Amino acid sequence: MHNECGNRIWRRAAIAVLIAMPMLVFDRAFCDPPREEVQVTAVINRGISWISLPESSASWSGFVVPDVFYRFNSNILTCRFFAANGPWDIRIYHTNGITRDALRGVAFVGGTWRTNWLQVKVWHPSLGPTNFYAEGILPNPMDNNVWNHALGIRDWQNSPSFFARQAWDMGSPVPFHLIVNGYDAYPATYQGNVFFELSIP
Amino acid sequence: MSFCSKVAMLLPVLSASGAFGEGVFVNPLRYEIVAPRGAVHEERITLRNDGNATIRLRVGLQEETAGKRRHWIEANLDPVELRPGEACERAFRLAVPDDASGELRARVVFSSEGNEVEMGAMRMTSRLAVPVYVVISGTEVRAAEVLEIWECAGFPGWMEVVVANRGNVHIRPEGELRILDADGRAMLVRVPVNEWGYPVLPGETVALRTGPMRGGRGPGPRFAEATLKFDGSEITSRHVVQPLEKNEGVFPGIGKSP
Repeated sequence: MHNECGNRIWRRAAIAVLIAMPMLVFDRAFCDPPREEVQVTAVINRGISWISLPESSASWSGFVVPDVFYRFNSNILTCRFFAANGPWDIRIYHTNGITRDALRGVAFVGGTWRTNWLQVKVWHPSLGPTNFYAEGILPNPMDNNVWNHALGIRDWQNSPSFFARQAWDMGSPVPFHLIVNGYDAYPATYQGNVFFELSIP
Repeated sequence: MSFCSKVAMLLPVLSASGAFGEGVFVNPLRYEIVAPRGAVHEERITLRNDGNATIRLRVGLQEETAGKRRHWIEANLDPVELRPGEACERAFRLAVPDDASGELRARVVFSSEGNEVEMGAMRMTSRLAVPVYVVISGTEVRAAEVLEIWECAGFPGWMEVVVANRGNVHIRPEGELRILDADGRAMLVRVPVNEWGYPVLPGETVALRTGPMRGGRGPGPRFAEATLKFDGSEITSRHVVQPLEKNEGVFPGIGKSP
């Protein structure tokens, strides 16, 4: 009786194993979802590129409308570059990817030292008079066209300014013009870095 | 005091010289990667000095993913010094966070060092950037909408198709634009759109340029039909062509924030 019962159990277990094994093998082979892997889907190669900044002197002039705003304008500068593959982007940043570095000045205001930040923006001469100094007209940093260049990402200290986005807009050399909006700026000596960046986005 | 010091601050007459020497070889110039959450991956960028003077490059990472800051990409940020003809590799490593979705974006940047353009108190530095896009598989949403089609200000014979990215990953919509007559039936001309595959980032609206157009111009209303393809999707959208004056004041080709 005991033996008979034990045999039956063994027999059943063996049958179960015989049924289960091929199913497990089949499942392993065909039914496991494919493991997701990292794929590099696009790489732009042949990357001989360079960018060079103004080779001529740059100068600045200030402009003030009392009680409204201050602005500071450079002359027209030129950027030369070669991008191996289009389309290209040129952006202007206040950060080097490690630290943010907009123009910064420390001023003594109301009995305390305060830090003020100024944003440098870019203006393309095609947006306004090409000879604005001769005409006595200077680009207005509050102008929509200038603000259009500062695409907000997180905050203005990090936001790049674009002055060309597509390869067919303009080739190298690209003329540009820097503007500082000094609205609400405290009197101080300001200093900082501006980074011109070329990339194939 | 205030005005004078403001002018003084920023900047008398300054001198400048060339910055990033010609012939810096950077390869690749762009990475697009598809990876699942939790994936870890490493890639390498080759730098070579094809110029005739020793260059010193600073290495930086510019994270561009909107919203919460994440430390998903790492690179050795030690400066690189290369003599003429010398080459080296710089690796970057990415680790996709378990709760990330859509895509992650960053730029690995190489700036010239010791060769900046001094502008009084301001320094200008040129740099090359390698964009890195990581699409997180299984979480991506690809959707786009054509908002407007208009004549391109300052570029007669060119059109722009204004595309809004409604998804959560970048797209590169490419296709064609057909200019139709006032009845919207006969096709006057057909031109390619965004042949170079310029990206439209999530949440961004960009005016994508067509190729130059011969014909299809003239008085009276016209229709334009854009058919754009990206990543297996296709959208077709018909609009009345907005005349030039509607587009005044918008710099051609510049991405416009929504």
